[in-house]
Amino acid sequence: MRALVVLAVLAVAVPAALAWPGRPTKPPPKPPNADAPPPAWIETQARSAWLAHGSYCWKTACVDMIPPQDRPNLPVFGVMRGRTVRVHLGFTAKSVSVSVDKRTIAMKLDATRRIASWNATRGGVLTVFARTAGDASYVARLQIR
Amino acid sequence: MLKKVISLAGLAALTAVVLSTSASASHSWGGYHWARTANPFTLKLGDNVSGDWDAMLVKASSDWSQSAVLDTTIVAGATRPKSCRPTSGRVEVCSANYRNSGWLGLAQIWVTGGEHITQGIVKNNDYYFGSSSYQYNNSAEMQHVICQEIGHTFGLDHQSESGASLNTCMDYYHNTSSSDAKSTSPNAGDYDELRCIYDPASKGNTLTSGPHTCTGTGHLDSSSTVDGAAGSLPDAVPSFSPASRMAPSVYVDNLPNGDKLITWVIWVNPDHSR
Repeated sequence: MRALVVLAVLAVAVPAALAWPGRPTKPPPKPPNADAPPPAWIETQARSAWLAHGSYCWKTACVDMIPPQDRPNLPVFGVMRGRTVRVHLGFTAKSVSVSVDKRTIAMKLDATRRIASWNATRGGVLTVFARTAGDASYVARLQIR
Repeated sequence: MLKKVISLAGLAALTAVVLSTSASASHSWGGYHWARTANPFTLKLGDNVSGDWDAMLVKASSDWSQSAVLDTTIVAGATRPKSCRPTSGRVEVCSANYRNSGWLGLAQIWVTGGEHITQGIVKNNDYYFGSSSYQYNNSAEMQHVICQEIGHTFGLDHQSESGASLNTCMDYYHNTSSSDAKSTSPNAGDYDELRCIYDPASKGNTLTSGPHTCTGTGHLDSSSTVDGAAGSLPDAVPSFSPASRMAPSVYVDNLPNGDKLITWVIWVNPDHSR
């Protein structure tokens, strides 16, 4: 009987603990031009937020932005040290790289090739770069708590 | 349930792919290229720039003309810099204050048949150069930007995105001062990539220069989109882009030779015609 209760509690608690907040409820930021890549968002199990567009070559336009560290309204995203961070792309990527303050960090790309995840250990200017037929980058400031 | 969750987590871990950055990949931009009947071909760069940009346009044109497959020549501009409208068969290069848009440079191409570039524009944003407080406001950064944007109009993507210099203008490096001349010109990887895109003799071959590698896909075309020289484009197909939609059932595409390709559509689903 006790084992059944434990299993029942786990059946409720584990999926809840593994839940993710999903797409932010606010509208995404305005893109630099009409042909911009689809917006991307970042999430932990506590919250989610939109990333800003970085430089890209998408459809028939290439837009080369000022460095993210010089952008005054860069989104700030706080995360507890060691927690898993996920970035959701709006397209299937051929390859993805993630860097914090220009240092590449190890991450995993899921089987759909749309979600990149890693454990947050470094804070700084986050750049997520993805290639498909063109390329897209997304930026934010990652704060480790 | 817990076992199932753990199993699912294990499956997810198995299917996950660990990726690392590689600067060595091909940097063709979506396979876009100018249609032409022979190599090398000469692409006109319309001069709609002013001030320091003039000398930089000359250098960028000279640098890109080192390519074995294409040459560039600077001609009088055909547009107002602020609006920077395209001209069929060539690239209009412009400089103006495009305001606090967040971008230093922008390249736009028009494509027919899914892959053939018919015209292009380059915008260099004076908001951040000249007298601004932008921390990389220097002549080397300007050279980097104009070289990169022109390179995009040939069908080149970025070669590196880390922010480190690969000594190519197709990277994301930002020049710290006018004497910091890194990444202000194309490098061997860019010239290789142009051969991979345009040179039929390189088709199927792998070209490698340092960390850069690409495999040739080049071919010649039966007609040209360069300089608006084509008498007609027998293989022209409608773009069906929103910009070309003149009426609910009419699309108009401007062809490189000045002709217009007009496509009337009879929709299967009447909802599409709205």
